[in-house]
Amino acid sequence: MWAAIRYRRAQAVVLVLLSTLVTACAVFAPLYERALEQSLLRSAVDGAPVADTALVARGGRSAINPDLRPAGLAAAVPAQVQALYSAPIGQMSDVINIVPRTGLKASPGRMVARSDVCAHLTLTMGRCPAAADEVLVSAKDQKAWNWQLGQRFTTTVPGPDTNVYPRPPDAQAKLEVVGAYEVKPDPRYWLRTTLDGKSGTLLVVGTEPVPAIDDFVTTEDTFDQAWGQVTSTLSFPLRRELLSVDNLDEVTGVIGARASTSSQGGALVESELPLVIQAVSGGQKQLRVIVPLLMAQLALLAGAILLLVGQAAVEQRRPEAALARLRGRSREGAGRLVMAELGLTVSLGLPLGFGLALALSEVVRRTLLAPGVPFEVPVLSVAALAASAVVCALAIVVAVRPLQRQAISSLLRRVSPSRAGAFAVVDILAVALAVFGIVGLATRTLTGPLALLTPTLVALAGGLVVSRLAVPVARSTGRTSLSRGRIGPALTAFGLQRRPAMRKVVTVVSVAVALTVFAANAVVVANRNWTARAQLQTGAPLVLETDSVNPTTLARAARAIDPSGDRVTPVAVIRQTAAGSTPTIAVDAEHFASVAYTPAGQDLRLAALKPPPVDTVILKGQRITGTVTWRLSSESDVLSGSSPASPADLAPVEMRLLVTGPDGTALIRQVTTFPANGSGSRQLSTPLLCPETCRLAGIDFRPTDPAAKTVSGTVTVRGLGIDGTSMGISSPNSWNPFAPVASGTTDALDLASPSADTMEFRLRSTGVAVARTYGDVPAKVPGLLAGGVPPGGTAAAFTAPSLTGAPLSVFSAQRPGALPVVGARGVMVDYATLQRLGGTLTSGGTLSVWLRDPGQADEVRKALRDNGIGVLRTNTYDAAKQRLDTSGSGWGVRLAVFTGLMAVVLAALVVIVMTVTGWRVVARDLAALHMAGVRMSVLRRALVREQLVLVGVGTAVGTVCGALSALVAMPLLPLFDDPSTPVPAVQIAPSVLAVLVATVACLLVLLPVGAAAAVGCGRRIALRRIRESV
Amino acid sequence: MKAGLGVSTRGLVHIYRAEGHDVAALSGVDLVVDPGEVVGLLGPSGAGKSTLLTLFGGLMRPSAGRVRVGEHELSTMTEPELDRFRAADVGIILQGAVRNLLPYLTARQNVEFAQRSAVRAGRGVPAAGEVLELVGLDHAATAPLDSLPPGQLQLAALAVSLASRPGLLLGDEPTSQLHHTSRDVVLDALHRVNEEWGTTIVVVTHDPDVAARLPRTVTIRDGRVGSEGRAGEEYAVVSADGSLPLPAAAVDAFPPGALVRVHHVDGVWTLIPQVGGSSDD
Repeated sequence: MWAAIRYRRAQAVVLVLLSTLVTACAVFAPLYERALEQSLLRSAVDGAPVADTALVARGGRSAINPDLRPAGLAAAVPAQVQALYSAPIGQMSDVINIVPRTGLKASPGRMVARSDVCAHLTLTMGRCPAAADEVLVSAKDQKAWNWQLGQRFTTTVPGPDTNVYPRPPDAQAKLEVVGAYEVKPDPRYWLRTTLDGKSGTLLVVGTEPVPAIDDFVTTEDTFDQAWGQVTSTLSFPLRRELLSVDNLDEVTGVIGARASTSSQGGALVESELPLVIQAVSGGQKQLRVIVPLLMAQLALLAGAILLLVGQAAVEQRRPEAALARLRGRSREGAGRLVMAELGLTVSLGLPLGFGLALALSEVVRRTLLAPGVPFEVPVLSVAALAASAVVCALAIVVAVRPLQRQAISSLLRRVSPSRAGAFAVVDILAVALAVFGIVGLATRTLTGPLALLTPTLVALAGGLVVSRLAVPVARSTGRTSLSRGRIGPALTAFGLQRRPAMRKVVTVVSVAVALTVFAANAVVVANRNWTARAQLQTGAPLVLETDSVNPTTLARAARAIDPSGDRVTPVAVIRQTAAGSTPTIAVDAEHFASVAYTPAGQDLRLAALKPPPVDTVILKGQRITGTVTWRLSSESDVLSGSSPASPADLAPVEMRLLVTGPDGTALIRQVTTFPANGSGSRQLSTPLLCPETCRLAGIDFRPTDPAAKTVSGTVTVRGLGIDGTSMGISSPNSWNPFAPVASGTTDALDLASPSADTMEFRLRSTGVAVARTYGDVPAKVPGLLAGGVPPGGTAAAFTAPSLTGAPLSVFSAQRPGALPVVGARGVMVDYATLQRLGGTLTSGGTLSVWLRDPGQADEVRKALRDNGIGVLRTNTYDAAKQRLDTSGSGWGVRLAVFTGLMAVVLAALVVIVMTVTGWRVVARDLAALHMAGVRMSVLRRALVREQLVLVGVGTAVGTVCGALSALVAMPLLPLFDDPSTPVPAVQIAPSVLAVLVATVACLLVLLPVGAAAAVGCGRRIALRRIRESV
Repeated sequence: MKAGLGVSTRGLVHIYRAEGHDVAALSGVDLVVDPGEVVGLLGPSGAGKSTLLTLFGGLMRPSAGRVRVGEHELSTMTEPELDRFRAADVGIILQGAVRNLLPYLTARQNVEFAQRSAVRAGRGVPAAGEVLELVGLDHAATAPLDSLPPGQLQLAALAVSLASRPGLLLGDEPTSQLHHTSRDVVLDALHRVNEEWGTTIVVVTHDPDVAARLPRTVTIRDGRVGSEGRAGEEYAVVSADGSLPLPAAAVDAFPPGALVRVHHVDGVWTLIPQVGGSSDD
């Protein structure tokens, strides 16, 4: 046995290598998946604040448990859950009212007793409280109020809630200061508890501000039963190292069952750990799709290669089987002989493959994954090893079966009988499955294992079909070359036609290249989508969310930092609390594109957002001045229960200016009134009542008499101004067109300017106010609307929240698929337009500064700070991309790199192994030709050309099939952990560049390998080969 | 000691199917080889010599007719029975020494490999060394095969075919491609086997010198027994149906379709071809 293995040493090495790779592929999948799951968990848990992963049992005193203390809450947490947590930290707290200095009002504060608290405090003076009513005060308060040791404070003790009426008076507690503290930062201990930070700030109590004071620290004994409303908590910091993928579901289940909704003896158990775990679960689900998707292709390829190589190896052992039968062995016995040799060879690769997979996963664990991922050998990897053994054994058994079926007389022939029929069945089956898979994927009706295997099946079918068609082509080419006297090309063609290895090499190279192309495309397409998502999420390379609520201040600061507006731009995002509402994003339409990312596949028509070229009119002064002349006629209506009023008796018509205050509030200023019938003229001198300035928003005329059926006529206003200074608003182009309140009415308000500084309004009112709005802000603001039209509107007119939260009338100038930051639902409007409307930011809004160059972050932060604007949060594209890169999907798709590399390695091995297994026959054939007079150099060149053609044809077929698979199978690859519809929409069009680069890379590996194998074989052409038989 | 096995065929026909055509390799061979006899099968290429040898070895089943080797009627044996037959009762030397040998084993190991089936079947086998000594290769028993000259390789092939001490040894051109010295060594070995073990030996050969050293030769022609040679004399062989193939030298004188009168005078049978519509006397 060993002698036989040694005799074909090179072939044995390749077989061992092949089974090593098969095993490594199979075992690496569960190892990688497991390591990734652990990595996701570690990232999520380690990235979460300690407080988020802690478990908190909370309870208040009541008539049932009037002396509840933290220790009493331990029973609320099951022992199996407690095992995952460190020793709990108990805390009692209640409200106190302290008069910091005589003469001041009492400040509300909090008194806290926390277990082992003094170990986590630095005492700047005094000592730790040891008895009831002894307290520590913060060092800041002590210094601010000059509190002394021994100083006593009296506070009201909040008694128990009771239904007794009248409520008995609260008791008093006398607290003695025994020391002062500073907090030692320790998130694992303090969790969400913050003792200090309030000193020096003000609280509003009722209507009066009072100084805030930091928490007092005391002992549990202080909270005797008189403190009836004291809250006790028992916090369990998570022992993160104990949380594993294995106990994730169990922990979630147990905590979920106990948390929030359940209470034990009045205690409430809280933890945000399930939320953290939920994110991990999403990633796990994606990994369980991606890893099998990619590894199934590789496994199929590896299995097919093993079978093909097994067949080649068995073919080479036909003479040995024949000898065994000649000497009396049965068919089965002769087969077993071959099986034993090949099985032993292949089995050597199993432990090597297992070790290789372990080493690979260890490299990944140490270099790529989050710290703290344990070294593990999951049961699945052992199962994968067993499965590899079974696959290897099956491949050998299946390869040997035809040998066992052959009669001894057939075995004694040098050439194996043709099995064209069997191959035809395989071809038809592969083509049928591939077509079925492609149609299924294209119509989105195919799922499951066949869907996962379709890319490989397509390449398999392509390779088989092309290699079958190549036989007659090679034959024809050979004859043509021969007739023209071109011996070399003829030998190449006939070699391709004759050798059974040809079909195998073409098929395997096709599958391997297809897999590599598919994998490379998957990586590039995934990265493209992650980039698009990260860009959309962030909006710009760097975004500084500010605490500013004034859009003008922010815009001014931004402009001061970057006068060109091409590097820094202000952005406002206004969200409403209602679910499904349409948020507004306001951008500087002129400069936004040069700073922000454009959503992938979108061409935002920002030019459509630009405000009209009409300057805002700011009204500042005391009185509205000018001259108004009217000539009106009216009709009265019949009011119920009375006779028609005479038009002459109708109440007057109001002329009003529509303005907005500095805070964006819409205001109305009555300018004058005039009769609804008749004519006249009047000088205007009306108080403006805009002490902090107003913006002119429009002008309207309103019949005040409900009985007015129609009012029509002309109103001419000359020299309308403030304190005698004309506003300069007489041009009709400065005003928005008239928009009737309701459609189908005859209301109208036409504007003309017959002479300088004169506005002539021709009005017709059916009893309602007719208005023209000033043109600095369009009547309907243009917006780019992503997602559905907000309820109650149409694309031509809908409302969205303005800066102040008030509804803004918008029409859709474009319907892009997504908008930066707000995603698939939102409307983008012009920042300057909203700025003209005035007002400060509503509570649901954010004013931010977007930067093109993240390197300017510090500079911009400082400049904003100099303008009194603080930065609340910094968002960067890099961080967003990093999050996506390290998501479950990110890690999963990265496996494509491994599968691509392995596919090429496997293909290279097949090229080598086919040469190794067939070189004796080839060398003998060519030696015969050499004896017949063909020059050795011609023979060798023909061999090399033969290999290059094989690899070239296989690569071409693989590239086409890989691109086709990429087209139809990419939707199977979940690119995002978030199960909701991806925004922006996933772009799965194959990357031509990726396909080409992968193809070239494959050629760069496979062509030299093929050429080297051919050269090696060519060197063995010698006349003595003619004598060889085995 | 196992004695040689006799071989007999009756109406043996074998037809090959190739690319849709039937080709008759043997078309009614009647032949008897006595136990312990040494017989050479002669004849032109394609005459059916190797096919006959293959049928003797149970490697193929005849299309018609019977083949008996010793007590075994090969045409009716099942495949396992044929396997056991090859394991113990017949040794076969394929054409080309290296086709009989596993190249990665020594001569001794090859003999031992060939003995396994017989051993498993409970048959007694001679020691490998004894076999090698018999053929005169004991000195090279453990040498790598690729270091042996062609003659010794052929002796190794002979040793392998004798591994189970078969009653019948079949050799397909066992001396082809050998120098005459080596050829004689191999022929000597064959005779030694026949003499010492009583093994029946049937060899196919094209070599007249080899044929001359064999006590009996059978010439196969067109799938039939054409003639036999005994002690240097060539004889035509009357078949079971009474037909008599002419010796090759006489075929030109009696072309196909020629009318021949058989004349018997004083115990002498004379063939007289018809000339011009009447035969000469």
